[in-house]
Amino acid sequence: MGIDIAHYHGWNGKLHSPWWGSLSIVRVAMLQVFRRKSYWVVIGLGVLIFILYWSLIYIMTQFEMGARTQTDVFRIFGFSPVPTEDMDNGYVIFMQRESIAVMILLAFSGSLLVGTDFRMGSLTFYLSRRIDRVQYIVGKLLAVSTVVAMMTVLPALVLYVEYGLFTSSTAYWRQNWKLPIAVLSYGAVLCAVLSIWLVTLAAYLQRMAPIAITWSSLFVMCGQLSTFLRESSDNRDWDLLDPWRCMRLVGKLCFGTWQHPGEETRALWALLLLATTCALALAALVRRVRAVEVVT
Amino acid sequence: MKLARAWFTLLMLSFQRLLWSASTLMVLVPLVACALFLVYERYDLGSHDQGTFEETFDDFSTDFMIVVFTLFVIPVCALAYATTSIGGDREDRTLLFLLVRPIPRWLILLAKLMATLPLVLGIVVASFFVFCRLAGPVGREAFVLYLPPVFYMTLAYVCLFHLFAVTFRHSTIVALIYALFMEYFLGNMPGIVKRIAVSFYGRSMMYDLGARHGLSAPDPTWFVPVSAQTAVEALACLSIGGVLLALWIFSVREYRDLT
Repeated sequence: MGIDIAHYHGWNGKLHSPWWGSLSIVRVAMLQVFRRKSYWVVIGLGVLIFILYWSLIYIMTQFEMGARTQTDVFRIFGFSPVPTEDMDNGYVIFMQRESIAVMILLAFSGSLLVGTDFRMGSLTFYLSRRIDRVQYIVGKLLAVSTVVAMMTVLPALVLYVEYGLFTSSTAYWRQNWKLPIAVLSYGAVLCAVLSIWLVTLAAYLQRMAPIAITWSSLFVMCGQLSTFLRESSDNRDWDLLDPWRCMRLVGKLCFGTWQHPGEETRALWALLLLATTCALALAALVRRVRAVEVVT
Repeated sequence: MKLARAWFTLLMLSFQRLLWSASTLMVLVPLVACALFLVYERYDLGSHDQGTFEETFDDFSTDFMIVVFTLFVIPVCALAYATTSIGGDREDRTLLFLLVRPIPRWLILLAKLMATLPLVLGIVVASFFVFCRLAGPVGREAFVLYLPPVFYMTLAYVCLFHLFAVTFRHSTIVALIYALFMEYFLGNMPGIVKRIAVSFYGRSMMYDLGARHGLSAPDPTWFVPVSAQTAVEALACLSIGGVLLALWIFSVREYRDLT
């Protein structure tokens, strides 16, 4: 069929900004993630943890218990509705508890959302549209960040709202207004770091197995080795070897409570470490995302 | 004769594809991290703070062997190759070209398994040898003692992940959830439920074999190990049963995602 018969013609309407393309990438990425049944198993793990904390708050606020019993139960579950010198912000602890489910979900999402674009040649299609590689990268980073936020920040905020609602007054929210800000800042660090690392890793490794191995080595094994080294040398600086603890320390810079001496200094070092690795990863990612595969 | 030659060709091709893959490079990441940890930690008798051989051996066994090597390094090495040997063909849609050849299906899977097993065993045992050398005298003692549990666990994981690969479409996902979540979760639950985890038998063997050399027994409230003999039998049964089930599933199953 000739092109004249098909009535191809230029678009005469007003063109939107190419940044809208990033949002479309996010929408498609969400559909891809939630379409897979196997991913729901991992999401289910996260939901189970959320239900556990939701039930804990319900029981603690609705049943008559002594203050001592309440503190003991909260301590068993590592949850504190109000941060103290001994215990961190309970909502942030909840987000940390979700880390294993987030880690596994991201290990799979990396291959699905980014790796396949390179392997199946979808990247050339994306970049043949009106978007530039900057919009593509931003779209993919936002997609991963949305997955992280849905598993951590959103349920943590729901728990905060739930605690306030069940106390039958607004006093809890008014007295602890810093808690959601601390949750949001920790969530922002999680989203930024995890998305940049994952998208870069997936752009280079592409297949699920190598991504999963590297991702789990980074988040499971480094954490374990960091714990051993910290305990054997009695030096908390080894916390910087664990990416989760690094992110937690950086998150604490905004309305966090410091539990150990020297934690604030370590948080600044963690910030430097994460900022450097993210900058390097971004540079590598920009270099990797090309419309045409360059063969040298 | 022609069938044997075809089978051997498939085995060698699969072996080379697995060896020269990104997984090999990425498996080096945790292995190098472990080596650096051991170089820093120095379990050598004399330079380590704890003093006696038994205490150092206990530290090395509990911290490194059981928590890092058994619960992480072995499953990850097995996962890197065992899920991609047949799973990679499914993912790349090249399994169809294998199935249309006049080779029985069970022989195809057997070739994949035989290509994977020496690779995983080679990497795991070689890295275990290097790690034990880095750990000094306690490491040398541990290498001789813990080689059987390492061998049987690797075998069991490889067979189990092949079963996952022929059963599930996204076997890497299932294997990773199993290795990092289910094994850890089940392995730390009180009672009998932990007996379905591969790592339980590996750890039981280590506790049994290492007891005479200073490895302290685990808290009986949480972990009641079985004897080394029972653990060997269980792991062998798991491996053989897993392979037989995988062969049967692969022979009879109609894969609808080949094209």
